[in-house]
Amino acid sequence: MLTEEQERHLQRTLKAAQSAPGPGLEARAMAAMGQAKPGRPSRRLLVASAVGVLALLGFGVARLPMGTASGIIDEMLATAAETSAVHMTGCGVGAEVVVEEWISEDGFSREEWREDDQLLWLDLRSGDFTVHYRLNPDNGEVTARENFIPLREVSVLDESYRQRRMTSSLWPLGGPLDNGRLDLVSESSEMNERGEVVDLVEVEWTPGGRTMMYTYQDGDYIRELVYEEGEPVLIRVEVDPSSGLPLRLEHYTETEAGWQNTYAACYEWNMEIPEELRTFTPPRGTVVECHHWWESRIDQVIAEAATTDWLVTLHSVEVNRHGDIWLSLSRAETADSRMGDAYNSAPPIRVEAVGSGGESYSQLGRYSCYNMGGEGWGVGYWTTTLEAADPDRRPRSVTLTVVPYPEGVSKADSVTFRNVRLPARQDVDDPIAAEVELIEY
Amino acid sequence: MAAEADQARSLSDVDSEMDLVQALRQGDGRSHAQLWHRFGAPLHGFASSRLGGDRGLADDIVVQTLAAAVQGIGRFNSRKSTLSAWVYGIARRHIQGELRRQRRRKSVPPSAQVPLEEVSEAASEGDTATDVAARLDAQREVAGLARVLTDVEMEVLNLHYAHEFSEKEIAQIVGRSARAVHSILHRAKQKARERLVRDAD
Repeated sequence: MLTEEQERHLQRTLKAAQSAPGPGLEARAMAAMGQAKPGRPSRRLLVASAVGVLALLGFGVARLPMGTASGIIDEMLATAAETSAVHMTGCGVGAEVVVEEWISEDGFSREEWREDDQLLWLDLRSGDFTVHYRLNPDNGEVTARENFIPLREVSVLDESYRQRRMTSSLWPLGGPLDNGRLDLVSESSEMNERGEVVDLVEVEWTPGGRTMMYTYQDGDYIRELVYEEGEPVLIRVEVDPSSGLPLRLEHYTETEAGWQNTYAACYEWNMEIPEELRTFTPPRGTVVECHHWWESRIDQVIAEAATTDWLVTLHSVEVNRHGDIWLSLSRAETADSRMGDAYNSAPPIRVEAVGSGGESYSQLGRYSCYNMGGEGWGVGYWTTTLEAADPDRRPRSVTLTVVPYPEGVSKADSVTFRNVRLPARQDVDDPIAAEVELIEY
Repeated sequence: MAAEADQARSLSDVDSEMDLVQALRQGDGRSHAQLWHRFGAPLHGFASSRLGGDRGLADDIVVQTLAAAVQGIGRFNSRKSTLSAWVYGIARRHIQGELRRQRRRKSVPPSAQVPLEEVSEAASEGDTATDVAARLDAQREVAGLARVLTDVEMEVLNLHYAHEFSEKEIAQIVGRSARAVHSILHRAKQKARERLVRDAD
């Protein structure tokens, strides 16, 4: 950190570097101020301010229940949920970040964040893989990672999940609003700046808590658009009257200088996803971490057992140099499952193990899990580690008791895999980490 | 240092600020002169430093800002910010607009592009030769700093040291959270320190 002397020097220098206004400037400024009349905002600000006042006074304001909308907004969301693809380009005004997103009904999605045309952030989901790319422009550090995701069947099957994805770029209008209140301000038919006749809907959103519209933080590098609790955000949506789909969405917040545009997004619907967007080639020199653990294990079955509620599959068993066991397991609800919607979460799967010679193991708290929400929540893939109490003992096999859901009606609903053969020890501490491949582009 | 600016601001400052706001709201012509005397020079320095020393553009920004402040004074809310932070916020939006226009033409931050010959032409009429020389030295050093800091780091550093705003006020001006400003300022100071140490060597 700066010493006091360095701080003083910096302050002196920065102050000394400030230019002074020339002699003609005062007269110009006085003339400009004389011509400016207090309280006369520009036409656009006047419209927005009037809308704000209307909303506050409640004249002609239709109150919407939290999480829903009415009229054009309702129809727009329903129509958007049934589309096959959306391409959104959003921009945080003054925040210098451009966000671009493509989503299609087949499970594909791609989100990019750029600043000054430089790609800072990429999240791509295409087929069985996700790719994450992050650049910290301050120091040039790049992290890139490719994951195999064993959940393809879930995203295809889950209709409610698909519909939520298709409207997610319309947040906070689309998707569940668990934060605040929406008030319809006005609905009208108008001509937009491009000369198109559109349905213009204005909604006031009052955040119920501090809300990040987006946040990108990489180390100390931060870009964010934050809405504060209780401070209204005016949302204007242009809807294409022929398709019922949104063309443009804008956010305004009331600042000291009046209503200011903070975010704007444009939409294209039901378009083809260009093939080149389904893959990502990082910049030359980027090292990508490839985590393909499940790719070679998802179709491998060592043992399978079912309870009334769950089908449990043991996909792989690995042993590290210390005799610790690494298990890859999956769980799926059976057709006769009694679980229903009551347990829509993905707790850690519980495993107890005893070696063939009576060796004991303790399950480590750390585990990794792939699990989808919504209707697909019942499918999950886990890796978990059993630590050997005595690394010197070398049992030939192990008996595993798996509790697929540790709480609730299935507490006693466990499956047992007896005498599972243990493979030879690998000369590594962490078999999953050892399998990560580094590819340099 | 500037972090204590909030506390250091005296009650009479706050009173005079509110008097000025009241006078502006009432359309009192004398308040324009007060606004100019209070903000004209510092805004010029702020705009000029953000716009690579371009005095002509800085003049325009000052004029636009003060006119917008007079026009928008009805929306100033003293519970949300100080008058200074509000006026600087207006200036910053005008500066950002100008920078966006410049970025379309340039790829290097304007602050790092100023040829020093131009800086020498930018001396004010009342300046003595010593004033000009001191300013040139300072601007040369700031230009060096601008090469290692990002635009936003330079802006926050400038607001903190040259204009003595607190982190909270800077957050109001630049439209970021106080946490983000704290982080940016921390990073800017680190880079400035590295630069100072390197120059000293």
